[in-house]
Amino acid sequence: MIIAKQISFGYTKKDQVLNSLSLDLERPGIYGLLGKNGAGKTTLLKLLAGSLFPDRGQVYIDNVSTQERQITSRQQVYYLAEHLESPDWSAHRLGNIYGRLYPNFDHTRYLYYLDIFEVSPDTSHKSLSMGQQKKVEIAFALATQVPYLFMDEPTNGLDILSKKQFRRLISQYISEEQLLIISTHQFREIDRVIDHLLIVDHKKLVLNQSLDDIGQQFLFTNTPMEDEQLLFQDEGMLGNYGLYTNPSKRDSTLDIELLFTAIHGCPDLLKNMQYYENNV
Amino acid sequence: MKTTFNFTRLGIGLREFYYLYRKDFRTMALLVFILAILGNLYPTSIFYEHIMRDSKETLSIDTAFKLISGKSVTFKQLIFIPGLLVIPVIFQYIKRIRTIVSRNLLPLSAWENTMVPILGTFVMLLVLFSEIYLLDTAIAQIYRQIFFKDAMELLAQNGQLYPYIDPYAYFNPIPLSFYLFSFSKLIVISIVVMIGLLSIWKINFLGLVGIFALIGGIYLVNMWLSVRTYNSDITALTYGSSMIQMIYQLFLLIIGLYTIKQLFKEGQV
Repeated sequence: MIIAKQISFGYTKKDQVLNSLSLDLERPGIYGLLGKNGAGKTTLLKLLAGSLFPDRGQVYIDNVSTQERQITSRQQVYYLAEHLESPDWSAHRLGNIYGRLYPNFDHTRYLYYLDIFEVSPDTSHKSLSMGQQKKVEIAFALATQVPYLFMDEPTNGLDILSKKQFRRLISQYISEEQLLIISTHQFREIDRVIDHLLIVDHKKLVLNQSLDDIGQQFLFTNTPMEDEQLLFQDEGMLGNYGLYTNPSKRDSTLDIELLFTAIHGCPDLLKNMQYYENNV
Repeated sequence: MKTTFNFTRLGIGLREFYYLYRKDFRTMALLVFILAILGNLYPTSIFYEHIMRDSKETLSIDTAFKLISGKSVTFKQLIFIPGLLVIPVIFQYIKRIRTIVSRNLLPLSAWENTMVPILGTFVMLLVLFSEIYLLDTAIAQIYRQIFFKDAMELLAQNGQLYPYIDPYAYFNPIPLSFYLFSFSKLIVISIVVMIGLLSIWKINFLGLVGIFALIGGIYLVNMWLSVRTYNSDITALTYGSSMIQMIYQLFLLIIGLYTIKQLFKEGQV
């Protein structure tokens, strides 16, 4: 369980990145974290992982403050950075050394993931391409099997096929007890794997809902509706896409891009909704 | 972070340290070897002159005096060369922890992060010093084999029947006490460098000023406690007993390690 209570953070005193943000992630699952450039997604992930400490407020993982930096807490968390961070070792050595620090690290699985990504475990890091290095880091992160896994733009640098393999691995090997947060700009790469959506905007978390709940509240369609209230309309290749209220709980395919654009286009869109995070 | 300490994790940390810096270590070991050879083979050196000399020529009296007096400065300074490895290695190690998020979040405690570079540096210095000692002993033995007899005869012919052979002469390996002195200084420097780097990374200028004021104070007390003579052959009493000095050095070491541990504790990246 991850709880962030009224956290504020700024890299300088004048410029706050996050302001009084609260977050409560009780259920395991795969969370997609979205936000504009500079919205504070990476900062939020670092705060949740315990790499940064909030200027105000507290972050708790399983009721332990991240500022305590307890070993047992850090064994439960893994943060996969956007940029490559591994030393110039072979994947094999990386697993042999750092893997031993995580109690659930599974070396066999690690090698299996590398095999899926078609990366040789014996090649040194520097001899691999950027995409292959990223694959090693993803394989390691998944093999740690930590309960709380944070991935910042994990598909950056991966080719189309590898992105597909990544989605497959996430869907198949993230267990029901694990909580994975993926921060990304690439909506379409994660919309089929995530089951929760987090949106950061204007220094706050404005949405924290399961995709099922969002589907219950909104109707996404490019067909004009008469009974439902139009909340937002956006031009698309196949006509005008509309975001409607969904009082009759009709089924529609979630369009994350439309929802995201709507939230940015109409900052007040969620404010009257019961699940607007800042009302909580 | 709680003050946990686990030997398995410490071992993992040391393995990480070794695999990160083994290339630098090997390069330094090779550099030490090359410098030790060059330090005895440079033009105008005794050995160089010996190789270049006509076989019929005998040793000169100047060379004989040179052989029994102090060694060339270069070889003595070789003992401080490992310091050139220690500082960049510590810099890189702390930079990794203070700038790389996944490294900063590894489940290693502040005490483990503190002890790894200190122990790693300790072992590196120990191996490099052993290498220097073995090379020095071997080279001193070569000098003895080649020059000792001739030099003693030449000195005797010139009225020096019982010449004084300096402990740092070419015929003797550098005394172990000199290694011990350099070793302890390099360890102290490592600790000071770590404290300085961690303070700089915290961008805590006042803290850094405080630490340097403390170091200044420590050096003043060190000077007060140290042996004062005007001639190295004369032993003088110190201002404190050796026991007090040892306790004081131990106290400094503990303070140093504790400061590093505290600086690691609040590390954010």
